[in-house]
Amino acid sequence: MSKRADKGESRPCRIVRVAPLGIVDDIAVSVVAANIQMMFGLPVDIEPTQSCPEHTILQARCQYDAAGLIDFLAAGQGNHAMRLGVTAEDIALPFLTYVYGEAGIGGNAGVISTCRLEKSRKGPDVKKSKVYERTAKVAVHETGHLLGLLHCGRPECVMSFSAGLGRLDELPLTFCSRCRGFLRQNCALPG
Amino acid sequence: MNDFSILVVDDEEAMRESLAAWLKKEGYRVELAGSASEALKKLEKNPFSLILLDIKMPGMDGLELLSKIKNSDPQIMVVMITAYGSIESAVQAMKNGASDYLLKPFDPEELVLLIGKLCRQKALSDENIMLKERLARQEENRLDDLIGQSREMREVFEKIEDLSGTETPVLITGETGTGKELAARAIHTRSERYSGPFVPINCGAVSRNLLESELFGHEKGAFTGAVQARRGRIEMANNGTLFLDEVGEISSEMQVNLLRVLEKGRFTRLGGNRELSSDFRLLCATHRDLEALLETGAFRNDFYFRINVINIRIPPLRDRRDDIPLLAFHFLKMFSKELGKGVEDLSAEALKMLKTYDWPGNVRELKNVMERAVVLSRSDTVGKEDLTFLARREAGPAAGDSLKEVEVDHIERILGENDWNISRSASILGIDRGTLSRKIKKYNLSRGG
Repeated sequence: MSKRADKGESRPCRIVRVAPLGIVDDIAVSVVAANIQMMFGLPVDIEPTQSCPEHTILQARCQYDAAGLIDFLAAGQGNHAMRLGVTAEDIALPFLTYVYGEAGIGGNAGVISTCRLEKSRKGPDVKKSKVYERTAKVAVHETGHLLGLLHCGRPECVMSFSAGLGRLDELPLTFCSRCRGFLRQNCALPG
Repeated sequence: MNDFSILVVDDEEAMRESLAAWLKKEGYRVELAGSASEALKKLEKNPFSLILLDIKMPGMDGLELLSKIKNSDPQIMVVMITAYGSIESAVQAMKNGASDYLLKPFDPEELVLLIGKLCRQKALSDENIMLKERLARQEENRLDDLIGQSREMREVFEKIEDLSGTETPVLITGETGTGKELAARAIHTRSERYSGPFVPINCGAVSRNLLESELFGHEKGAFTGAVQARRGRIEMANNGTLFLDEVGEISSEMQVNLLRVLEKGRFTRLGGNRELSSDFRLLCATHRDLEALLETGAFRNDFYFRINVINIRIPPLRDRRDDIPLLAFHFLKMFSKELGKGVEDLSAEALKMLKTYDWPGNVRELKNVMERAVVLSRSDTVGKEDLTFLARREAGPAAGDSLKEVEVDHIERILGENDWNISRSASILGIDRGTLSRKIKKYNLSRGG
């Protein structure tokens, strides 16, 4: 169903800045940084924690607007860096009830939330290791978008769209050969 | 990019922009409109597979726009979206032809499943149309194959085989009833466009005004009676073959229009502004001497050279009499089975009559004669007595025939030779279509005698 974006010019190696927003589990932030470094071979920095800006709250819904958070994170960013916000707040888009993460294709900022990753499909909380695994998948998926990848139609690829935790748990933390090839041409992908 | 295209119509800029960005990540081609009027303009320029349409908008609202869209193109899929959802508006939208209804904000799982479902639905509908076309084509081929073992026909078959795998325009010439359309179908089925549609049109059977609309299609309201938009044959032939039968009947103006389509691959429907494209192979046929028409100026040089890259001439039946028994038995079996008559053979005298007759209407006339003979036959063999009408045709009117009998015979013969094409038959008989239709009714004439 989905295909990759036009390749365009090859990008220079970009640094990824992981930005904790509000009270967020330190280990989850480290997991995000480690997985991005490992999966993309890019240098990663962890920024100091800062609050989620109040103006990004979707008032009637007690959620943060992912698009607003992305605008906040992107402000002042050049093309040489990408910023990935990590928050424990529930995030959504004006037209969607929730998102696990959001990033524009080829953009310079994205955001992920661990809020809904801590639940099992039936309700009770899941083990921390499962939460970190889900967090890593969402972070790698959104970083893939920042590097120009669209959703992938292959279920064996982490860029496949996952609506729901069941589908997210089925996703492997790997790229298919086509997405891997695209990344190899656009950033220093290892191996 | 995915060839499933989506138009998002919403007056809230942030909403439509973020929805479009999200859909683009799925690989869909997405365009945006902030109002009903902008949406209508976009729809005039480009066709879309799906429209995500907000109900509550200033000016013309989503429900009114839905009616307009469905009125002009009933096939287009529309999903209504609203933050002000109510059962009443949902029921109204579904009544007006909406495919589904979503309340803002959407559950992401629900949105993906719905668009995926509509995408599959469209693919199935496209495939269904293609399969029906292929089935119809197979049926026609089964009933009416191009048949012959004579040297002349073997040369035709060789030429058709040589053309397989090429995209060259072909002009098929030959008298009426020789099987020019069958040859065109054979070329199409042997080409790489086989899975695409074969779209024939008899340019001599429709009036000049109607031909333009038939070929190019029209938008709703393009002329009196154009109550809804309609695709033309050029559009239908996309990825397939367009077969212009009796191309010699096309006016000079229409030749210019067609030449433009052949050169640019783009065209507009009558009364429309948006440029559409169609990728088709052109095959043409005529019973007329186009070179003579070139001299009189009735046929354009540039168009002639464009359509006549390769020429295949189908010989008249009288020049390949060896094929007559083969064809006669083929039609005998076919009609015997179709009519449940159990007629299996032709007597030697009947075969001799068939072989010596001149067949001005060629294979089509032979086919009609065999159908009539099978209907009239009272045994398992078609005899000389079942072909008496053929002797009368050859001999012309007998001394005892009344004027009415002569007229009926002549009209029947001309109709049979022209596959009951009323326009062409009327033109040969020197009367207008209306007069011929009245005579057919008066004498209670029908296909197959």
